[in-house]
Amino acid sequence: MKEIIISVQQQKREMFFLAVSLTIAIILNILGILIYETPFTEFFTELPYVVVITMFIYAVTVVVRLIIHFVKSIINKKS
Amino acid sequence: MSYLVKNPKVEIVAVCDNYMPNLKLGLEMAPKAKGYTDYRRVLEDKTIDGVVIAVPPSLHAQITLAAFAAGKNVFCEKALSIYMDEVLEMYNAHKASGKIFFVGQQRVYDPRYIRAMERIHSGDYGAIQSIRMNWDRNTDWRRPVSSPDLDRQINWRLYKDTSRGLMTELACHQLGVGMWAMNSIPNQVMGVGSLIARAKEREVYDNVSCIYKFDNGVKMTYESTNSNKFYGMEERILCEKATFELEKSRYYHEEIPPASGLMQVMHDIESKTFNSIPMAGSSWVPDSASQNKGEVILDRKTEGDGTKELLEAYIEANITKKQPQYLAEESYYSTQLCLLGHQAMEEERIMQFPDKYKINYLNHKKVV
Repeated sequence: MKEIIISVQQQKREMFFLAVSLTIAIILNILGILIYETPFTEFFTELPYVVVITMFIYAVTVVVRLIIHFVKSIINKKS
Repeated sequence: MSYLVKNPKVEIVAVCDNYMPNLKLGLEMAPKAKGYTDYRRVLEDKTIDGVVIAVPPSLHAQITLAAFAAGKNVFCEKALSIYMDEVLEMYNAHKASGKIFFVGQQRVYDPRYIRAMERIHSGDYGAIQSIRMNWDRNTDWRRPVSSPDLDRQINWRLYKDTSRGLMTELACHQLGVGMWAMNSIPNQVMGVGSLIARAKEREVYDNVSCIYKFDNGVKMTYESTNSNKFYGMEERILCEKATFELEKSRYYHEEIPPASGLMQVMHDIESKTFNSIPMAGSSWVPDSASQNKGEVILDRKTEGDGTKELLEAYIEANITKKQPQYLAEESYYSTQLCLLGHQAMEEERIMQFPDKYKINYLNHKKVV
């Protein structure tokens, strides 16, 4: 079986994307509370949804990066 | 009877029926009991404290009056009678004798209904705006008979001289619930009854619709049919802030609490991303029924429909010799209201509750 090695740089990059996703989800939660004037306790009670949204955004970034990687590799092959 | 034989506080000493197969069945359930075919012989037995009368409503009055006269406590099946005069006579006999008087209106002992009434009467859900009741079955009500001579005796529900059909068999259970919720007795009723699907099989209506009006303007509608069961049975109490469905034992807030801020933001993003932008459209939105799933009225499971509790209360009343407050009055008006509805349908006119049948209860005062 092939050993997969994830470099420190790759790990840092993925952590960065995850942190950005989490930040966006938290901002959405705060925005929701402010725009719809809901109780501030929702900041905590909605945390499970924040985690789910974080995962969703992160998954989107993965898909987008895979597409970019795929397109780049086609261009590089042609050139 | 199946509840009574299981209760250790009860000793069934007599079973009476003039239809032999049923008498045999009764004696099989209570083997120590003595069999009778004439209720008058039963009432002669001085050792008997109370009786349970489960005969066609056209016979309730004569047996109940005889039982009170003999000093017995009485549990009588609903409806009390098919005549309003007899219902009053039975109530007066109960008051004069001081004996216990229970009627088979089991909903008043059903924990789900009791909890619902506590909620409604708390005022937290606002005033009652409307009451809607229905009981739909698809049944011919006919029971097999070994001889045509027995048809009227066995299938008494189908004939006008022994029954008021859907009103005395079904409405009687539900109209009392509306009165209980309102804490008031409606003084006006109009209605339409018809024989649509079963005209060849019976004399009583197979399709009834009545509107009862309370003094404050609230209407209680009652609909029942014997030829379509889709909607089953339900009692709906529509309050200002919530709607109660008593049979389902659920209630539905009129205003549903909004979703969390985060969910609303996500919904906004989703709808702005995926929904098409309408170029033109109607400003009218259809008033579809609410999809609100509601909440349970009683947050614990119950068994049965209150029959067991009602019979247990009757047994306790026999022992303590105390009549539960207002029980006889609730039952009295439950029957009177269904009979008045029947009269409105028969005479095709708006009926006012007659003064001569008023007793001292809720918004009614006895007219001397």
